[in-house]
Formats: sequence, structure tokens, C-alpha cells
Amino acid sequence: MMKILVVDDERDIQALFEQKFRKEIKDKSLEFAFAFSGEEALSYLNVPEHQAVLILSDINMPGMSGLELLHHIKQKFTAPPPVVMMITAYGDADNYNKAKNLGADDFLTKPVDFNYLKEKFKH
Amino acid sequence: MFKGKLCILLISSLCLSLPAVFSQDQKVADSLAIIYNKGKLNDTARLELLRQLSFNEVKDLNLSLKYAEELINLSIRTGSDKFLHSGYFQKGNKKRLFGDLKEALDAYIKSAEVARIDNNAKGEGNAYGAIADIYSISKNHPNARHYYKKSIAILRVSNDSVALASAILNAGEEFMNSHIYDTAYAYFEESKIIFEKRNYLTGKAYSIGNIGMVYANMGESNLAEKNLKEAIQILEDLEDYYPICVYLLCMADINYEKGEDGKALNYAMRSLTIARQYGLKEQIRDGSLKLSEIFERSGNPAESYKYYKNYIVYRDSINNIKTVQSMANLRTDFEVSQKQLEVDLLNHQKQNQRWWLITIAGILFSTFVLLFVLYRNNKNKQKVNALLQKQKEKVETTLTKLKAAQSQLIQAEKMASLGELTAGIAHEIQNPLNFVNNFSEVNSELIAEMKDEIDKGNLQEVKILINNIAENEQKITHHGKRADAIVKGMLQHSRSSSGGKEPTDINALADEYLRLAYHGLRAKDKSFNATMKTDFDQSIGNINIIPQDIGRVILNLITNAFYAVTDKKQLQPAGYEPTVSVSTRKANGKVEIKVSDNGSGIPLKVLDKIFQPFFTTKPSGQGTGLGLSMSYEIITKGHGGELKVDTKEGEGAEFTIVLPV
Repeated sequence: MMKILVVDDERDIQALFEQKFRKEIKDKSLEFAFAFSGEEALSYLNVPEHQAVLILSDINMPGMSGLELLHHIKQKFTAPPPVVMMITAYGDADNYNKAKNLGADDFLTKPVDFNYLKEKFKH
Repeated sequence: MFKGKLCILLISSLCLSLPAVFSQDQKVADSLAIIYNKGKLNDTARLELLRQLSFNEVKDLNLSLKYAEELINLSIRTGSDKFLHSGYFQKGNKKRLFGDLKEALDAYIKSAEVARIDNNAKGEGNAYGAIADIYSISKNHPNARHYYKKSIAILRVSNDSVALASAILNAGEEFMNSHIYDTAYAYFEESKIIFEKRNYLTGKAYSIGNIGMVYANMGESNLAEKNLKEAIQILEDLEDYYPICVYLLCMADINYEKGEDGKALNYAMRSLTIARQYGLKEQIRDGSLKLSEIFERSGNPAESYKYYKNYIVYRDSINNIKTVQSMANLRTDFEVSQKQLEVDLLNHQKQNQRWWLITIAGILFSTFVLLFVLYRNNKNKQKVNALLQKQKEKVETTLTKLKAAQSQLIQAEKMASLGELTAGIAHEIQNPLNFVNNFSEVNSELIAEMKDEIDKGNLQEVKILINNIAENEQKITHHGKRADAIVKGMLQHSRSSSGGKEPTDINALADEYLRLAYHGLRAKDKSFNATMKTDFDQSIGNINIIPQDIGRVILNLITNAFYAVTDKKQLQPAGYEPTVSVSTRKANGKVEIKVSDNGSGIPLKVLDKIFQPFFTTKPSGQGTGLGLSMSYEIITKGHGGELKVDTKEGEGAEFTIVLPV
């Protein structure tokens, strides 16, 4: 079962993911955890049993931004490093490049294409 | 003591009249009379002849007076002021010799007035001198002194030094008779100098003799005798015996007082001898009395008695004449006084008339000036009013244009800030729209799934699905409303303020605008990023504000803060983390909203200008310069609050909105 941490300041993201991936959750092929800020995500990841293999993070968040979170994750969690996919409403090259330079594994723009995301999870 | 006694001797004795100054000649009169009586003369010649005749005719006083009156009449008829003055003056002289002092005074006054009008200073001065003589004879000493002074003052500017010296001499006598010796002495000295210069011996002798008299009265016997002797010597040459007798008797008095009876007797005897020789009764009387006194003191009563009897005879004789004369004089004095009163009254009336004329002229002039000033002021006022009207119209037009421009600028400022928000708004709308779309998709999926479960008869699962669909429906509604609120907020921001306050969640408002501003800037500038920190006091609750106005202020402050940190970031200082913080706090019945940044701060030199309209530090075209001034207006005037700034150059700025609750 793949453990996925979703980080977004929009709380309804949880309901959306849980319903979009209700079948995967039901058959326990996917497990989701949710954090609503960068700080909360780091706190979650610091707990050993919470370690996720995939992290989906929004970039634009109050407080610690998604890019900062990415920076912290890639520096702190190295063995093995989790897969980090950045999600943003701005599909701009600047954020993309920054995210790539910080070690982001993928880059998605809103609105998220859940079918595409499912395909990504499969890989 | 002889002080005062000698003065009495001189009263009315030595007055130097002008007829004596200019020698009259009866022969001249007789010759001219023949020419005059032939007739066939033109007026100018007749006038000159009459003047000469009235002056030189001394034998027949009545004839002389007749000439003077004819001269007056012809002068009036021909309009000759010069001869009219002479006519009146001669008439005055004749009347004076007749003893008619009232008529004399009247003639002299007319003479003076005509001379004054004719600008004849010499004539006017002589006439005043004659008037003074009349007053002196009438014992009206104050008037006499007044007219002598007037005469002297006028004659000083004329070119006739003998007339001036005569007036001065007569004035001196007047002062001496009034026992004012120092003034008298000064006058006699001056007249003596002038007479000496003109070599007029009679005048000089009178002046010297009178100086001797003054010395005698002042107790200076040596100086008195010296001057009197000198005067007597000159007068003996001139054969002028009346003053010789007076001065000799004065010498007798001086020596008698000194106890020199021999010398006194000698002088008194000489005086009496001359007086008897020339029939000078007053001097016979005075000389006899003095001899009686001398003989009495020297122990010769027989001689004393003889001269005393002589004295009584002449005294009574003179007294009889004097009595008659005195009575005449008393009448004359009265008439002169009456005349003076009339003259004074006339003068007073003239003065009054002159005063009234001057006053009326002054009033008329003042009125004219006032009218002119009022007219000019009115004209000026009209001009100024016209100018003011033009300026007012211009100012009103300018004001209208200004208001229109201001309105446009305010709108421009709103639209500019709206432009900054557009991307943020798009982002903020994008999120709820994503949820609406996503949850709608999910619901479609759930409905399809629910159908399958119904077909399967799995009602428990159907119920779960129905609940999910219902929850999602709520979320769709929620996010739909959220998008709607954002759109409404945008519209509110662009509209004019309604002015109505309403309970508003200030934290939500601040948060909303923070996000809008952030995302707006992000959309415009992809490289922009800044840390946003919020610290909202949840105890505030709703406060009464005009939300779109306060939202505009917060947005403006946040946008400025982002601009400041971006600006500083471009300088790329090491380890710089651009940060904008928004916090709220409730304390002491007030709500504070702080917007702070760690940008470059506000230079102190412009700190007092930042709330002025059109002031901006942004490059041209990037700011209207109205953001902070409008914010200040909204907070202070619209909400009765405060907008404060605290800054440190290089370290950042903190704006604090303080709102009363």
C-alpha cells in the first residue's frame, strides 16, 4: 500500500481526494494523509511511522511555502527520499525550475487531472 | 529819587511824527495850489498834486484837510489804492492836529487797510505807527505797544529805514512811559543806530536824549548826564528848543537828587530862560516849580515863593487848557475806545466770516475729496469685483475640472489596485471553481456508482453514497458562494463607497486581501515570492466598518509592503527573506491592524509627505500617488481612526490602522 501525504491549505482537498480515490482507499492500494500547511507536513513526516512514499504539495501556502517544504524534505529525508510532486495554480516556468532544482519529482498544475494523477500513482 | 518824575515830563512831548521826518514846505504848497486851481489836469496829475498839497499845506489846516479829502474821493473814483492810502493818511494827520483823535484813528485804520490790500508795506507800517501814536496819546498803552510792534515788523521788510527808526523811537517812548525801561532802551539804541546811518540828526538827538532819560530813571546818573548833554548839544545846533528844555530840566533833577543844588539851579534856570524865550508854557511851569524847590532847600524862601507863584500861574493857565483838552480827550478816548470796539467787532466778524468761509471751503473740499475718493473706490471696487468675478468663474471652472480629475484619479487608483488584484482574484476564484468542478465530477461518479449499488440491492452502500453526494453538494454550494463572494468583493472594490458601515470580520477581510494581493503580484511577476505571516486576534469578532473602504486600505498597505520587499530583494542582500506580516489586535476598545514588511523602509526625508496626494516613490507610471492619501482619508475621516507609520531605513516599515470599536 502506497502512503501518500497531501499538503494544501485548502481543507476540502481531503474530502475530494478521499472520494476521488475512494476505491483505492477501500481496496487499500492507496493510503492518504493530509496536512494543511508546510509546517504541519514537516511535523507529520518527523514521526517515523508516518513516513510517506509520495508527497503531493501545493506551492502557494501561507507561512511555509511548498517550495520551502520541498527543500526541507529533500534535505532531511534522504534514505530513501520520498517522491515529491508539486501542485500549483501557476504553471509557470520559474516555479517549475525552482521545484526541479530543489529535487521535485514531478510538477502538476491546477485543476488537477485525477486520471492523470492515478496513472502517476501506478508508476 | 527822581525815578518816574522825568518820564512825566516827557509824556506826549517828543513823539517824532512823520510830518516832522519829511519836511513840509508851504512855498511848495502855494506854488502847486496855483497849478491845481487852473484845472485842465488829468486824473493822474491831479492825484499827485493833491497828495503834495495835502502834505505841504501847513498854514491852513482846513485847506490841508480839504486837499486830503479830495485826494481820497478822486482815488476812490479812479481806483488808485496808492493815492487812496496817502489820502487817508494825510486826513489822519490833519485830524490829529485838530485834536480829533477818533477821526484820525478812523483815517489811519483805513489807510493801513488800503496799503495792506495794495501790498504797500511801507504805507501799512507807517499807518500802524500812526495808529499806535493815537493810542499812546489816548493812554491806551497795550494797544499802542501792539501797533508799534506791528508797525516795526512791517517796516522792517520795507525799504524805508527812517520810517522804521521813527517807529522804533516812538515805540521806545511808549515803553519808557510804561516804565518798561529795558525794552525802551533797546528800542532807543536801535533807532539811534539807524538815524546815525541815515545822518538824520533830529532823530539821533531824540534817541540819545531818550537813552539819557532811561538811564536817569534807572539811577545811572553819570550815563544819563552824558547822553542828555550830547542830545542837548545836537538839538541846540538844530534850534529844537522844546526837547532842550525837557532835557535841561532832567539834568537839573539829576543834580538836585545828587545834592548838587548849584548845578541843579543852573540847569533849571537855563531851561526856564529858553522856555520863556520861545513861550513854552509847560516848560515855564515845570522849570518854575523846580527852581522853587531848589531855592527852598538852599534857604532862600523869597525866591522860592516867587517861582512857586509863577508855577501856580502857569499851572492854572495850562490846567484850564488841559481841563478843556482833557474833557475833549476823555470824549475822544471814549470815541476811540468805541471805534476800537467797532474795529475789533468788525475784525472779529471778518475773522468769523473768514473762519466760516475757510470752514465751508474746507467742508466743500473735504466733501469733494471724499466724493472723489468714494467715486474712485467705487470704480476700483467695480474693477476689482469684475476681476474677482472673472477669477471666481475661473476658480469654479478649475475646481470643477479638478473635481472631475480627482474623481478620475480616484477611479484610476481603484482600477489600478483592481488590476493588481486581477490575477489574485483569478487564483482565488480558480480554487473554489476547481472544487466545484471536482466535486461535481465526483458526484456524477457517485451517482453512477449508486445506481450500480441500487441494482445490486446494496442499500447500505447506497446510503453512504447518498450522504457523500449530499456533503459534496454542500461543498459545491460553499465553493460556489466563495467564488461569488470574491466576485462581489471585486465589484465592491471598484464601486464608490456606499458610506454605510456594517459588521465585518476584520480578520477575514485582512486575510482575503492579503491573499488577493499576494496572488495578484504572483500572477504579474512570476519571480515574485514572499513569506506571508498572519497573526489574527480571534477575539475581535465583527466590527462596524465600511468593508470595501477598509479592504482598499489594507490592500494598499499590503501591496506597498510587497512592493517594498520585492524592491529590496532585487538588491539580493545575502540571506534576505522577503516577509510581509499582517496582524490584528484588540486592546483598549480599539482594533489595530498592522501591516509590516522587512523591506528598505521609508526614507526620513519623505516620511512627512507619504500621506500627501500624488506623492509616490514608485517609478513613473507605476503608482498614482493616491493610495496612501486615500487610505489616510478613509481611516481618519471615514472611520475616526488613525493611520500611523513606523519605519527604520534599511529595516522595513510598519503601518498601523487603529479603528475605534
